[in-house]
Amino acid sequence: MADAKSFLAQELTKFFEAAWLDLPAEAGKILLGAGDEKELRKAGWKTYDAWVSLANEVTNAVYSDRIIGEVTGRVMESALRLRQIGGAMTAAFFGNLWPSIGLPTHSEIVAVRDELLALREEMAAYAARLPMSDDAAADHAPNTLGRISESARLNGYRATNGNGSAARSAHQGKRHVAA
Amino acid sequence: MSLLSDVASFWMEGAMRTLEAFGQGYGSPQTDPPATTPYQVVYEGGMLRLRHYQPLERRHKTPLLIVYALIKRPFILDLQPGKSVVESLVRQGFEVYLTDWLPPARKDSWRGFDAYVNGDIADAVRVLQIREGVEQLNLMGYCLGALLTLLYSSLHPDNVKNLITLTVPFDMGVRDLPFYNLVDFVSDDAAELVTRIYGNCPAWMVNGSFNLMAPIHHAFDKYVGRYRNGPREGYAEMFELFEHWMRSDMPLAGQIYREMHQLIFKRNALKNGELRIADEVVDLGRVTCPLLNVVAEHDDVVHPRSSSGLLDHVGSEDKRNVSFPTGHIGAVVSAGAIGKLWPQVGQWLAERDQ
Repeated sequence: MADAKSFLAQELTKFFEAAWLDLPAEAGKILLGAGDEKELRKAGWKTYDAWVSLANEVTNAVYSDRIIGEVTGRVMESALRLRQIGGAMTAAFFGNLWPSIGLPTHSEIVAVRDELLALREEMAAYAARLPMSDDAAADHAPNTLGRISESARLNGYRATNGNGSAARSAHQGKRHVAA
Repeated sequence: MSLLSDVASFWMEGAMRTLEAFGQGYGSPQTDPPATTPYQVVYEGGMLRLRHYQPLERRHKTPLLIVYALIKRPFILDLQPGKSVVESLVRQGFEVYLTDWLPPARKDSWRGFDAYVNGDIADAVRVLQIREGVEQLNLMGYCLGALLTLLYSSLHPDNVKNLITLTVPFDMGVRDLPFYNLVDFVSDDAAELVTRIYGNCPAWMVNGSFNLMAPIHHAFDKYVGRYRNGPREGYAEMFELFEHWMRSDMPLAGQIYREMHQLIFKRNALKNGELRIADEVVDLGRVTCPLLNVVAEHDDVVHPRSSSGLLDHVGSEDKRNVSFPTGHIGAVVSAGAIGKLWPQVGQWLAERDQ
């Protein structure tokens, strides 16, 4: 925290130097007819850069502040809880409204979509088992690797670990190659 | 007057594009700009597409698999001719493969480290072992991708010939970047709520976190920078591409978001040796392959001290930190990195290709 304060003090000093000394000095020179517009522009950008550095340090100081951190954490959690309650209320309201006017609910649409996907996978698995003519097999040869890969994926992972929670061997990859 | 009107017009344009990205759900493969280096998709499974970049003349036996982070689109690694890590490595004669992670849908919220490391990366490695006829691959990861490659190398050490970690978030107990202080105050309950409400950590939340890391820059200063650097050749085009990438965030699957928040960021479980994946403790001592750990000296996303301590925790004898004077993203797009860092990385790999 002490470091953050000293960085902040440094940036503040730099900003005041640029904004209250360098920039007015260059502007004064121009007014007296002894200045150069290029130098004035340079002093202007120096002030801007010092302001950006100062603003960044202020942001860092805000992020490092314990109270602000705690408030941010609580506000985020409260906002999420409100969002959850709002979502539940909307679902309850529309869940009853939709069927009464003859429209399907979200869960019914999801169920139909899941059924459709399952059907598509079933069809694909069935199509893969159909016998192939020699010509068709030659046409499909370039895709062999794709099918090997896909089967590796299905056999190697999904089938054993579809829900992502079951344990699997850490050496599965190696074993597959050896096989 | 041109300063004010130009900056205002750049700001307006940026705000419109951000709103547009918000409406589209931020990044997806459909919103990528055209690729700089030609590639072929050689495998698709789980949540990844595997891209293959073929060199004109292959000079190295072992292929290189680059694992990109899960949270933005990977085109930052192949941004422009002359500003592309992929192009640099391909020119050096490497057979390069790159993970193109697909955005998870709500039904994928169960995906955690286990699914990505033991599932998708393990499957990609297996595909490459078959395709290339090799037993071991070179692995390289960037940012969160580096964390995934590190976990993979610890759990499947026999499959990895050489490992390169680029700006890896390893020691998250380091609090030198003030933004990470806020993470301590986001409770585990809040992270649970995010996934209960949205399923995954939404892309807008990922984008918001990046913007909060440097709010002054993202809200204002970058547009002033665009004005000041306007006359520089190629700057405007680079700015647009870079901004496009900044808006290419993808949702983070619910389970891995919780694991990252609760285990990696808050408990520093990887460094403390307490991280378990599928009931197996991640023991970094099992990483025994040669390791090159690239640290960006001015990294404001992953502090250099968060990355550099990795070497003390792995079992490799041949290990090295390479510290490069650049930022987190500069490490993959800056002219300095493309001209000096990546030839050095290629050289390191080439020396260990036997």
